[in-house]
Amino acid sequence: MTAPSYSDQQLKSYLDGSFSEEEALVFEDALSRSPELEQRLLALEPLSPLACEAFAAVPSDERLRGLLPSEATQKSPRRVAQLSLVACLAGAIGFALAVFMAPSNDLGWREQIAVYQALYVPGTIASIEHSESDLDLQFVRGSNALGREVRPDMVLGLDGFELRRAQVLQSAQQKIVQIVFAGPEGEPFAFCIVALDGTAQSTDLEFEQLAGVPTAHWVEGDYGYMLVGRVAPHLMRNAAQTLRATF
Amino acid sequence: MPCYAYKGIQLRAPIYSMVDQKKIDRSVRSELENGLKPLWRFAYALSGRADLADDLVQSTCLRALDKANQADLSRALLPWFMTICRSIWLNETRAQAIRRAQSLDTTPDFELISKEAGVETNILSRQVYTMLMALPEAQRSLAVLVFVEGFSYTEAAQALDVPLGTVMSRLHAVRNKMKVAVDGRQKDGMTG
Repeated sequence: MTAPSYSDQQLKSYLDGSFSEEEALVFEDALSRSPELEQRLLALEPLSPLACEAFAAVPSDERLRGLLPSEATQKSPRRVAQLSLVACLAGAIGFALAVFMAPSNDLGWREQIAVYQALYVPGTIASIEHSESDLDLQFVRGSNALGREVRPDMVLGLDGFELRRAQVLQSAQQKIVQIVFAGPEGEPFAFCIVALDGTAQSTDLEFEQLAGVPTAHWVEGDYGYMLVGRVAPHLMRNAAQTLRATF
Repeated sequence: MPCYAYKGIQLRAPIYSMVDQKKIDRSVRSELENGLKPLWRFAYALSGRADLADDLVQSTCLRALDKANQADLSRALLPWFMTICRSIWLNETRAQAIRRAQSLDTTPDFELISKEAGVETNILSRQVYTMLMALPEAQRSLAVLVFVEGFSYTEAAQALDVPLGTVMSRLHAVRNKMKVAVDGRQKDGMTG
């Protein structure tokens, strides 16, 4: 069967929306089989010149080039990722050895949490699934341990994170509630709350790398708060700002 | 990674493969450099915000370089970059942006309109720009691919991973919504 031929006037009618539904279907079928017809139709698109003008200016070449990772910093992302992982693990293991060989009260609560979290990998949390009622119960236990209320709704709505569980941990000096999330790529990420001894001074939100893991932490009242995990910096920043507004 | 067949057995040649991979990496980087403008415009059309567009382009570059061994160098790579960009937007950045802004309604700031255009053209451009950016995300990104970047309908369908029929019906909706601007231009005798 020969494909129907279309005049420019007919193509304009199609673009105008003057074709009946049936005519449009026949035309679009012909279009899918004819690159030449497609090119003719594209050339007649009335919006193309207007849209091109409207989007004429883009950020400067220099600024755009800045978005492309340089060869020096990005020789091979796969290799970089492998090296980063090795470096992080080496750092974490080195730090962990130092921790386990040192008296535990030599470490601050932040370092202890970071060392603990440094051992988390995506597989650690991959299979953790809890029902809403389980989570409620975990948060009640956490609240009892801390002596302050923490509910799931207080930590939900973090951009890019999915709540997985809450558990109570105990260091030499403090009780810690660790609330575990999965990041966009399944990365383990935690929000930890520590009951301090009442002499701690409030501190502002600070971002710091501890035991090879990015963290964000602050102290407010009798509690220390910390976000910890290998996630994208903007995710860490957003989560920290959101939680800082609540806690 | 190319394989070398010998008597029916697939033998990998690591040294040659490494050389090839370097070549592929360089080609992808070069194509990315050439495609930064259209990529940024597409990212902007998806996200409606310059800062998110920057993030998206950066992530797209990283992802494309990371997956350079999957690039089909016999074809233009821009559609592939657009596909990666859209995938990152849909799977990673979008939900976060919506939650942050509560919605993706865009407030056009006209920053993309050429400052060199004449006053009348500029007014019309603003109108077109505002209307385009007010379109739903799926229509907006498609309109930028086809009307601004010159993708064919088929290429756009591939980049957006939708059937050609969907592309045509979305473009039909865009044309209807933009009819006012087109008619205005024709009345002003500004079309060639």
